[in-house]
Amino acid sequence: MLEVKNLHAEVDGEEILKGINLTVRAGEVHAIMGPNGSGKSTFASVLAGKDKYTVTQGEVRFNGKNLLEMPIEQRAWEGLFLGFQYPVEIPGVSMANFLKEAIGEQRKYKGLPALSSAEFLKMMKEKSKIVEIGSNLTSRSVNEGFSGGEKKRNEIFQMAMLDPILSVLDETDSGLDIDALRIVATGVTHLKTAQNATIVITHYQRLLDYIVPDYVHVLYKGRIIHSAGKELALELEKRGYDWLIKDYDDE
Amino acid sequence: MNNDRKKTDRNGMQCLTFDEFGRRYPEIFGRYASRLLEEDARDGLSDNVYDRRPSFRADFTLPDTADRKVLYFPRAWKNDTVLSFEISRSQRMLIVLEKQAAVNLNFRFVPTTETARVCEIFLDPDSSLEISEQHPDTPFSVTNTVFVQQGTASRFQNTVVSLGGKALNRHKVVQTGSGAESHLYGITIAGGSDRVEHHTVMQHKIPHGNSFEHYKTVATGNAVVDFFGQIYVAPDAQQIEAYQQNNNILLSDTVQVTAKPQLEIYADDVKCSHGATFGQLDENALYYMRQRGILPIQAQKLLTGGFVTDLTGKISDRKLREEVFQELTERINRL
Repeated sequence: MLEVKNLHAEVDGEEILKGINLTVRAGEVHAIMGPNGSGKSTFASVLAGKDKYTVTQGEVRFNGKNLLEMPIEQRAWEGLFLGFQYPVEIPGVSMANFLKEAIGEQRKYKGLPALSSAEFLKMMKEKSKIVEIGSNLTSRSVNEGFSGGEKKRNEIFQMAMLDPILSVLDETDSGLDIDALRIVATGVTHLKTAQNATIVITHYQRLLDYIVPDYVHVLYKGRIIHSAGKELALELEKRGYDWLIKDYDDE
Repeated sequence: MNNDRKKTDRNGMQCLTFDEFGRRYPEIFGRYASRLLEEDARDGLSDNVYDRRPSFRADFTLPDTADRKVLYFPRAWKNDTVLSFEISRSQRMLIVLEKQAAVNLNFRFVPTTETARVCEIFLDPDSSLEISEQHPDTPFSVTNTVFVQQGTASRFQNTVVSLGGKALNRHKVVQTGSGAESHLYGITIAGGSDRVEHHTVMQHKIPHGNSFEHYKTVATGNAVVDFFGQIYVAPDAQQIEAYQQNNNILLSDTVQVTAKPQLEIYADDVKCSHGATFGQLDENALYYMRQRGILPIQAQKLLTGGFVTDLTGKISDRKLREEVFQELTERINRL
């Protein structure tokens, strides 16, 4: 469902992504790992469409359509979800209004009828169980006063509500204690179907104990330098990145 | 229609014209009426040091046809629901709360002409008054001047919600008893060629009082919005806490928004602070909302609404609070 071909992107004149190639099919889980500064978050942001980055070369096809041409919100309607590394606090805007608006637009795009208030509330109650968030969440402001772990769980809650076909989780495990990690990971696994796919961007292997990837890619200096199966994650955990990246350091 | 006469109730609350009230209770009337206006005229404390001119002077020249109304609340009187009043033309008002009265009032401005309103408020010890003011987006200019004198351990809260137009709102609060609490809140949504000015004067003359001011503005178009917040703490007014905050969101390049805090603190054992911010909507929040599929224009509206909810939350009556928030949302949608 996702085809990334020779993707180059820059910010403030500096090239960060230097030709990424990646194919993700329905039902797959891909892990993207790599040392800090490799471009992992940049890749996620470019897929989402963040204004800050300029694509200079390459193409991305999502569901057979040109993703890079679409505005941010349209990519979401097409089924792209980004789990933010640093979820944003939005004081004064309730989770209910926030998600109601989001889901409303998505359904409109797909030609579906709007959800009634009752249906919506029912959905919120149901999905909040997946990440063990209290259902009194509805009236709370988005992420306001949430701990790091609660914010990450709230990302997965939103993922459950929006039902995307491609989720890109950007360092979803950063700043999480073992319990929060378990809840987040269980939530993600719970939402996995044969029709959707997930890209997990992570620095550490431990999340991948719970969210077992089909493919592991190592991103270094803006390129995917190595791809393999899930054993690669364990090997990186044991040996670090040095053995892989040393050949690329001269570039 | 609003028949204020019906508001005079069995429990002693009076809603009468100046003439009627003066006739029935001349001693009480004499004790209060125009006292605060006279004091303000003598009081050099609210002079505007920026412009070097006396700045807080009420326009006392109301037309003869102006309403002159007294609201008198006897000892321990309490509302069951908010008392609402419509103000459609110039008006003088005198409000008195006896000890332990707890009153919740709402003033809805629906001007049919240029409107000048002067209101004097006296709060006896232990009394509590909450007021919400709704000012519409109207072509008629409105000058709204409110003087409040607070007795010991009294509480006063005023929330002014302005949807634009041409308006000057002046609220002066003087604490003359210790342990009093004053809350002044304001929300302004302005666009087009709206001109709105909020001028507050908070005077702490006695020790052990608190005051909290928080005004927020969302402005676009060619609107001009000014906030001028004066705080005065007298030399003997120790153990005062006085806070002022003014936050502004500017949505266009041609908007003019000014914040002028003016603090004169003469006591040395006090906690006082003031702050003003000017900015645009949070870019990260807008991006986050768009990534969830919310249209940019809608994200902007949600954020703007979210910006004001902490202040609409100060309105204690739920129905009124929702009504005010609705009006604000509609105004934001029209910006």
